[in-house]
Amino acid sequence: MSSYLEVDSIRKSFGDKQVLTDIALACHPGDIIGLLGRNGTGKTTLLKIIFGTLFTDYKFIRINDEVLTQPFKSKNKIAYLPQDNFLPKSITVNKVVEIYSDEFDQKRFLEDEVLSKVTGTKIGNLSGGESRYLEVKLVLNLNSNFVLLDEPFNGISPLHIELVKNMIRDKSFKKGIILTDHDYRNVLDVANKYYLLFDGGLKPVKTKQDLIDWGYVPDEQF
Amino acid sequence: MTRLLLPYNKSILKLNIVFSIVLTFLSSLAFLSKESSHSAIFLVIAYYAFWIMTGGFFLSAYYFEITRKNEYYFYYNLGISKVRLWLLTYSLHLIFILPLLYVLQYV
Repeated sequence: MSSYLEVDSIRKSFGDKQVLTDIALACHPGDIIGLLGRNGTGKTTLLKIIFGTLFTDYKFIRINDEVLTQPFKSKNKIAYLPQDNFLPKSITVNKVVEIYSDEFDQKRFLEDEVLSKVTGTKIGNLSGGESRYLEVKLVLNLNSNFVLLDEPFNGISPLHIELVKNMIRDKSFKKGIILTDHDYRNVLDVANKYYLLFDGGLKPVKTKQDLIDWGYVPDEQF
Repeated sequence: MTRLLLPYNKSILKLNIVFSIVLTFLSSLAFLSKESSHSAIFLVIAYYAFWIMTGGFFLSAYYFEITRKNEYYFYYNLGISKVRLWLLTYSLHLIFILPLLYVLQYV
C-alpha cells in the first residue's frame, strides 16, 4: 500500500485573528510540496498543527489510513524541522548522531563533506550553517514517511544550499516532503508542487503568473 | 530509551542541583533553628532530597521550558512527548536520589 498524508478542515485562530481557514492538503511519496506565503500567514502554524505539537479545535489528519491527533507520537510517520535550531547545544555532533542511530547508519551519515570535519564539535560551537545542515540531514534521514521542513535553507551558505536541495530530492523518492522557506526561489527550485497561503486559505499555484496575480511577488521578479 | 533521554536528563539534573541547593539553604534558614529530634545534617540532607524531587525539579523543567523550548523537538522527532519526557526524567531522578535516602539512615 502506498503511504499518504491527508490533511483536512484545519482551522486556527489566535484571539480574534483567524490565521487558517479550512486548510486541506494531500501529500504522497515523491511529492515535494512548497508552501509559500508572506510572513505571518500561518505557514509555521500549519506545519506544527500537522506535526501535532500545536493544538487546534478543528483538524483532520490521516496518515496511511490512520486518523491521528498527534502524529509525531506515532513511530515512523512524520518528522519535523522547526524554524529555530532544536539540537541540544551542550552535546557533540557524534553524540547527536549516536542518539538517533536507531534511525540510520551512523558511520555513513557522518561521511559527508560538511559533517566529517565537525564530528567532535559541540553543537553550540558549530556555525549557523553547519548546525542547520546537520538538522536538515537528521530530519530527512529519520525513518518517517513524511517530512515537514520549516526554513531548511535558513543560514546555510550558498555553497551548501545545493547539497541540501539534492538531499531533499533524493529523499523524496521514498518520502513525501512539505517545505517552506522565506527565500521563495529555493522553494520554487526544489519543490514539484506549490501552494500559496493567502488570507487563511491554501491556493494551488500552477504557474509563476499565479504568484504575481496573488500579489506574492512583484511582476519584475520573474 | 535512557540513551535518548540523556541530554534532557543531564540539563534538568544540573539545574535541579543548583535550584535545590538554594531551596535547601532557604529551608535551613527557616527551620533549622527550631527544636527537632533529628540532627542538623539529617535535616539538611532530607530537605535536599525533598527539593530535588519537588520544587527543584519543577523549577528546572519550567526554566528549560522558557529558555530552551525548541529543544523539545529533538525528542518529538523520536516520538517522545513532553509529558513522557518529564515522567521518564522524574523516574531517573528517583534513582539519583536513592543514595541520599540511604545515607539518611546512618545520619
